Amino acid sequence: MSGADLFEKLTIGQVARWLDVHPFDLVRMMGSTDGGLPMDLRLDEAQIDRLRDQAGVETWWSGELNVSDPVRGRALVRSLASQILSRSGSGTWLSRADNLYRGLEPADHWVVRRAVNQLILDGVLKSVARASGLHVELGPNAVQVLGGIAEGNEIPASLEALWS
Amino acid sequence: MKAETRMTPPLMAQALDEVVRWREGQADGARARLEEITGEQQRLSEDVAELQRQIATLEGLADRVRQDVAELPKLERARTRAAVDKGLDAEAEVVRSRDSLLRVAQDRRDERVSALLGQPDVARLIEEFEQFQEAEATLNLLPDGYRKAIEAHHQSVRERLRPLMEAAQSPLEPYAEEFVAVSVIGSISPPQGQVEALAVLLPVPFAVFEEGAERGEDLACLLAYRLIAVIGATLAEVGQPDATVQYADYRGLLAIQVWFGDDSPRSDLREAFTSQLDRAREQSTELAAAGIEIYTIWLDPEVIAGAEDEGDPETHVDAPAIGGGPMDDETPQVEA
Repeated sequence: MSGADLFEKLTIGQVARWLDVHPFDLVRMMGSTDGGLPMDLRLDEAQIDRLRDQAGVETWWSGELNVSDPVRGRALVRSLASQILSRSGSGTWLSRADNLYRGLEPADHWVVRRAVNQLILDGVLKSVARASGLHVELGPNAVQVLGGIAEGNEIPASLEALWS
Repeated sequence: MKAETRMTPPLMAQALDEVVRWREGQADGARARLEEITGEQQRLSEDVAELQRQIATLEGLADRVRQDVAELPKLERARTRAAVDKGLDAEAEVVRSRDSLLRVAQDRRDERVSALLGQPDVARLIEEFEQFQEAEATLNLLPDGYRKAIEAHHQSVRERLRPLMEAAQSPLEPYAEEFVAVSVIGSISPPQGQVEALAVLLPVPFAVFEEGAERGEDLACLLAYRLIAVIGATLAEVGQPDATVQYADYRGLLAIQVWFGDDSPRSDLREAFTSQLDRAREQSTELAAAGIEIYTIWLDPEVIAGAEDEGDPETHVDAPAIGGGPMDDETPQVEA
């Protein structure tokens, strides 16, 4: 079937794996747009590109961490805070929640995912439901708190528990 | 000595004796009647006591029946829930068993493609097609005439490969024999007034959500895709495309919960869901290939939630239940 692969579209599961998002996020998003799901539940390249843009998929983690710290968990969380601050800039910022840990190895993924949840519980990040999946935005004192975390001098005890 | 003579008792004495006899007779008669009356009274008292016992017993029975009547809605809910659970399990089994029909249809399509791939020249055409794709980005560096010639040749290759492309992308053939109906359970809370939540129970394993893209795309998975897209389309139609949606484990099966909070649907939610499901039904070639037709059964939210009041926590949607909020603090988090 190698020749046919050239003309075969990708299944939703394949696209979800490639974009590293949950397939349910993709199908809900496709359902909420005019086109809906394709009859054969398969997608061509143009549809996949469009989906990636609509979903707001970004890969935040690749290569070295942007903060160095002898404790791996703390380094990850400080890097996370630093990335949120640099990406959010001064205007309104909204990002897919899974962007915040996309690209990480499983062990690091575990720490950052829980850190994101903790930041939501602490009100530093605010979760926002969207048709394309769960998003996050900055909470009221986010810039100050995230600054303290990124610098490493004011890390909330709730986050310290993730690596101690 | 005076001879004894018979003497008639004085009339007065006779009259008085008569009175005494009458009195004794009357007294005897009265005693007999009295005995009779008191006996009758005794019997009646015993009858009354027995009747009162019977009345008390009947009152107890009536109370029990009244209690049964009062509990009827609760019992009905419990029985309906049991029927729903049994039905969902049975229909999940149908979906599982019909998966093989989907595989057969997919294999048939693959065979059609393989047959075309086996035709003479196809391998060469594919090779040329791939070479063009690799070189496409650099074509504009070539002289105009040369580039146009290459593009024209590619177009002709593309035309000759069209049957293969169409076969590879063709929809699955619908199942030729009897279709089976598979239901999804829909529930709107509250049933009347401003809508706060929608729950949909599917006869597919919760693993479809839990394992996500790592799980193979079987019929259960594709069915879930269709229903989630239907929900997405429904939410868009009622003006709440971004409503919070959560996926929960309902006895090992997938439950989809939508929370509207203060942002109620702007049009009839049930009507929108039904029309979107009708639309999806027409487009679902994979469900047609497996010989499955989906329909919705709408139930009162109390049937699929609130079972915790009746001591059977395994028969209701895990928290958050219908009627509650999406989370205790209403802040959805990243799935752990």
